[in-house]
Amino acid sequence: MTEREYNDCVTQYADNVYRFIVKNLRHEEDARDVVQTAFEKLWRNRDDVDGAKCKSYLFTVAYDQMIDHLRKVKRVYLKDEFKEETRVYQKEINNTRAILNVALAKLSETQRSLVMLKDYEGYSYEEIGQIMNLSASQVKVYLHRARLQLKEYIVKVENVI
Amino acid sequence: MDNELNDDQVKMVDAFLLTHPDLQAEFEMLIGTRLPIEEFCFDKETLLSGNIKLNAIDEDLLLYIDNELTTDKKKIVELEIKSNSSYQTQHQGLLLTKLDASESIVYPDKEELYHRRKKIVPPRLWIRIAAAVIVITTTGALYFSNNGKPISIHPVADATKSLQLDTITRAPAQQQIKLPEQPAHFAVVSTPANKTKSNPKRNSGNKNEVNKGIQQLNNTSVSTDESYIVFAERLPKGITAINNTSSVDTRTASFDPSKKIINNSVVTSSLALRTTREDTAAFRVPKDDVADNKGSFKSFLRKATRLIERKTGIDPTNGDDELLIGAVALKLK
Repeated sequence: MTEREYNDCVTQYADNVYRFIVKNLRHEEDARDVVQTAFEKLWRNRDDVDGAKCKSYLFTVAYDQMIDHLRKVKRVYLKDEFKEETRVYQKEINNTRAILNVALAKLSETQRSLVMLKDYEGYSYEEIGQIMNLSASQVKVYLHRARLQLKEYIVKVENVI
Repeated sequence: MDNELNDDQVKMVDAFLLTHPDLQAEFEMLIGTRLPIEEFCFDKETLLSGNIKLNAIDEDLLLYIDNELTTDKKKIVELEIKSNSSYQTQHQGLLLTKLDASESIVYPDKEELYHRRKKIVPPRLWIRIAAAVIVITTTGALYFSNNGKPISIHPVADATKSLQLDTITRAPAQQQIKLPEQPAHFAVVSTPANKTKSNPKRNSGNKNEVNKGIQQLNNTSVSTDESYIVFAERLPKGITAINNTSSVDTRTASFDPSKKIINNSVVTSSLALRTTREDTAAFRVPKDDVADNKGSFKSFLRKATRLIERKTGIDPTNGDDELLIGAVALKLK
């Protein structure tokens, strides 16, 4: 990977990686550290990384860093980053999104990561498995369970509202 | 301890422990490592058949949501969604769990992630070749222009300002050229181009042409108080139009036809025959600049004469250290 390709990676994927990590950790500073570490590692190993595969490399490294960070810290910052729409007469889409974000926070790290990698980045089961060191079938099963849990939560909340 | 002994074996162990009371404490410690039985409650309601049927979602639908189905299966699911209302409901419920990919969170300080090194890129081969060609061409042009071709220094003046024009008169006998009286003019100078000796016959021909040109000049209406430059439409070869920069009174340059004309430069002017009257401030050069220009111009001519002398072995100056340019002699010192 050339320097130019590396800088292109920064331009294209920094926001995506940051979104993935910050929604998992729910802490901006920690997420920023993780993203920086991931890009530093990419820069150090740029000779071994193909330009076309830098995105999956970034997410793999960032996910590993995130897990290491969580093991070290063993805490979850419940930072109120997402606007929760409590008033009923708000637009439906915002309300659903807010509820979805709350439901997402209730999942485990693994399930949350699976859902985000699938929906935000559009990775296949195999690619997600390579990033998270799981088999494709494991990814499928865990992801389906995560969706069912999200659905159950959303339906319950909407029924209450 | 693991309840793996039959009744007889248990009795034997108990009898052994009675005979060896020191091992009883150790035996009781081992028994203490057994885990206690804990009661746990699990919600079995969701597992009952009725609920399982309600919550059961076709795996194909989940794969469809995840975009993991083949094209054929995708079409089948889509047909099922359209036709089956419960299937449609399930599909809509699952769609709620999908995150919006357009949601973006911008990394705060992307600049710290970039690695930019200033590289000194050596010029490509063709650029180097082009630069060398340009240098050689410029050097050659300067060299040849010093040695042969006439150099015309065009006046630098403001467009709004006017030219101050001079009359060039020539005595019929001596072929003198009267230089203008007015100050602050810019020179149009031509230098002899060729290095060879001149042909006397050709020179006489040139003289006739010069006379004709002068007559043409004289025939134009020129006021003595005002100054004009009259350009012949086509000056004959060998004739150069001269306009000096000095502010001195009328000077004349003498031309001795008996002397060999060394440099027979061919200078033609394609300027149209015209009389113009413009403001005198056109070429008014500041006095300091005039002095500097004269000095640098003379030094340039001195260098040029030395170069010519070195290269050709011909001395372009006359006995008075005057550079002969066509029909005009310029003092170098």
